[in-house]
Amino acid sequence: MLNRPKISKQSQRGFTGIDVLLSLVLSSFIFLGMSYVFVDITEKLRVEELRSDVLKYGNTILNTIERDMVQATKVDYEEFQSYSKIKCTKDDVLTIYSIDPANGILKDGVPFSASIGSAIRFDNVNSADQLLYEIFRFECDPVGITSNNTNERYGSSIFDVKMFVDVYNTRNELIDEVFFNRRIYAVNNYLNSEI
Amino acid sequence: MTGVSSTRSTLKSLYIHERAYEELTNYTNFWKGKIGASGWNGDASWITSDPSVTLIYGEKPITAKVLRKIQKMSGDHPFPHYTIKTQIVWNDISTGNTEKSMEYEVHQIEYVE
Repeated sequence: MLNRPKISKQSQRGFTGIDVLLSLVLSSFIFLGMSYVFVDITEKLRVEELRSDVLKYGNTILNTIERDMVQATKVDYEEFQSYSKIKCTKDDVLTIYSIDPANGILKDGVPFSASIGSAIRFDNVNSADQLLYEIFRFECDPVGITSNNTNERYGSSIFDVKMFVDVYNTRNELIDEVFFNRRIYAVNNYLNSEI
Repeated sequence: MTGVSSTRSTLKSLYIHERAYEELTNYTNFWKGKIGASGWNGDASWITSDPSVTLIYGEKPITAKVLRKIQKMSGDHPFPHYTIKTQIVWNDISTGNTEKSMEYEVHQIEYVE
């Protein structure tokens, strides 16, 4: 008879079912935690990127509107419920600024982003047709008579152009609001207005 | 996570700074235009009673105080000459509510028609 080697009880010890289960539970906790951190960071970076896009878009447009309003010999505006139409006349040429929710700010009915030579984009919807941001108010109001200004002629030639942009997350929840406010003195409009 | 939070608050602070710059420019332009149009008597000290401006709207709005000091430099020329000093002061949320400020000093003549 061959002498079979004896296997000691010590070497028979391995992972029990509970050990495996426990390690699975622990590793899934770690994995879930890391996934949460990853998703959270990705979302926050996305929001910052969107905010940066919105700032670039808003500032570029307001710079153009400001230049046109300052140079215009006549500045007029029309008010609607949540937006205004700005009308600038220079050398008998009328330029109208308005808004369209799908295309952003329009210059003479054409989106800024679509005009020739435009470096700005209005990508407010992603490839999955999800809304990323939207301009929900675009207003132009004259400063008028205030505690600091009793000159009516001046008050009707200085305007506050305001733009409010809502930024959404991937769950379509409002997460940020970017606000622009430009006070523009239409000096030529003032000089051409009646005393 | 700490790094991301810190970056986010720095970016928010930069955005507030940008808004403060925008509001100070608006305020300065208003006074430049007003002096050009109708002149000013001049202020002996900083005027702090002007209405505050809102930098950030939403659940926790951030407001800033705007101040001005306008001095008439010469009144005997055909066009009176003024120095306009403006300032904006706000609390920075990202650095434990420390007070931050920006200042402008510009010159303006009154155009007499």
